[in-house]
Amino acid sequence: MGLQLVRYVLLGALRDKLLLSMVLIYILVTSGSLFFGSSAILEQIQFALVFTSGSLRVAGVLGLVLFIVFFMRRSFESKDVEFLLSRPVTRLQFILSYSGAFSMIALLLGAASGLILYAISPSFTAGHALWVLSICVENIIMANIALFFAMVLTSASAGVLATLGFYVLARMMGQLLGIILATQNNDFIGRTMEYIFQIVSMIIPRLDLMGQTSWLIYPPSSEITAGFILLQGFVFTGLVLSACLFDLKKRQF
Amino acid sequence: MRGVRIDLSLVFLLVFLCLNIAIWTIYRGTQAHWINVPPAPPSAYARGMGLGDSQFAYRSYGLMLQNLGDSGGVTRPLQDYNYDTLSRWFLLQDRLDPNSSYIPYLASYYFGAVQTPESLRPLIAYLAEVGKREDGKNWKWLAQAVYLAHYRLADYDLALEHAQSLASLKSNELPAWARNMDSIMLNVKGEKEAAYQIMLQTLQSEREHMKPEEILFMIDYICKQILDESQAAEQSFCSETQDQ
Repeated sequence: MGLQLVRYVLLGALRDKLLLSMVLIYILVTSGSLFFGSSAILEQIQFALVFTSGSLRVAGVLGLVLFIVFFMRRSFESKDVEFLLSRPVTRLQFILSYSGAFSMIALLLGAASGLILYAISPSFTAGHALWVLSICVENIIMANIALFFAMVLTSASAGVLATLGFYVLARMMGQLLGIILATQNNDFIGRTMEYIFQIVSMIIPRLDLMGQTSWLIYPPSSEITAGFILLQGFVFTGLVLSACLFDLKKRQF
Repeated sequence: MRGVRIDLSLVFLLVFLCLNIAIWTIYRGTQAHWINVPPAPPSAYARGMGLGDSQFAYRSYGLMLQNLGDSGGVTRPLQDYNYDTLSRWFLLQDRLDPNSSYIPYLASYYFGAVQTPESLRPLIAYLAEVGKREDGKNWKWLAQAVYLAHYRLADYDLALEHAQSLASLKSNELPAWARNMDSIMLNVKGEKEAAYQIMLQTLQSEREHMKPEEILFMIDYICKQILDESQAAEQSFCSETQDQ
């Protein structure tokens, strides 16, 4: 039953023309980035690589989030979820199957981004490998976050906005923490805000440490390794899926 | 008598079409006002442009700086730019990516062509700061600072100051002319005796570590640029290397 659920979701992605849309978006994003890169007076390839990779990263997350949130909300509203849960499938199997299917799409988009970068600059260094790995992991994290918000929030627009807000926060987390460390607030309100922010940052993944476009030009620093990326992906996806399961188990249909 | 029925939606459409045409007539010649170089953000916030990706922010800012002032079909002359603010942008960019040559190149060969040489001071200071790095990899930007200070700004003391920094860089990549830039600057300032002494001492103390072409370059410079013909004739090393 689990595999059939995965197949059901993947067929849903095909039916929604997600892959076709993503191909078109990737072509547009790559063309735009190559155009901007070619206008630089020096280091044109580096510009094209950085703009393409940075834009593909955001485009991939946007496509995933929009598809997953709207697909899930439609499934709830058309009673598909209730029907599926009336079949011999546990709630854990349901969550894992949906998460597995969304993660497969996330991996596919990450791999496609890597192939596009290879087409622009046919070299595959350790930095390229680390970038592709981290984009795949980031896509998986964001797919599961979109799944979580789509299950928790009843409005599709609110789900998309919450997921994208979360993404921006995760991408900016390093910088925001840096600002807190650099500035010293002595007043009560400022210090309280800092503590609150530090607590919030505990459950926000450090996406700013992943998918850095500088890895495509210079060797990556030894601080960020494949182990860290995989560990962060595993730990955070586990947290989100647990939250999804907790929510689904409490839900009355 | 039957009343004439007016379609209100058509009336609204025509009214707003006319209003649009009126606005177009008034503003068609107006271009967005250029406020000169915008202030550079503090380095703590600069990565926000790339959503936390410093390289993406560096490239985005870089392209913005390259195309600054060329918008709305209007191209501003380089002398209109605020070079102090521009220099702060360059230093910010240096913190985002200290390895790229893009911004030093833009500063040297694009903004360095400004029509008013006095505007070059902030650029020269920036190039010197980038060029003085301990690893010596950026020596060419320091050489560019010397060039701009000497030939564009005609500030020979400033050129000599940067030339001395250039000559003192510890880098194997440094060519002979850059290694002897302080002597060359002294020579063109007219301080031939000082230039001669520095080059001669360098030749005597560093000869073992120098490549043959570097030694030949230095001797050639001493004999043809620093010494006059009669002085060169008195030096044995000038006649020895004449045929080489």
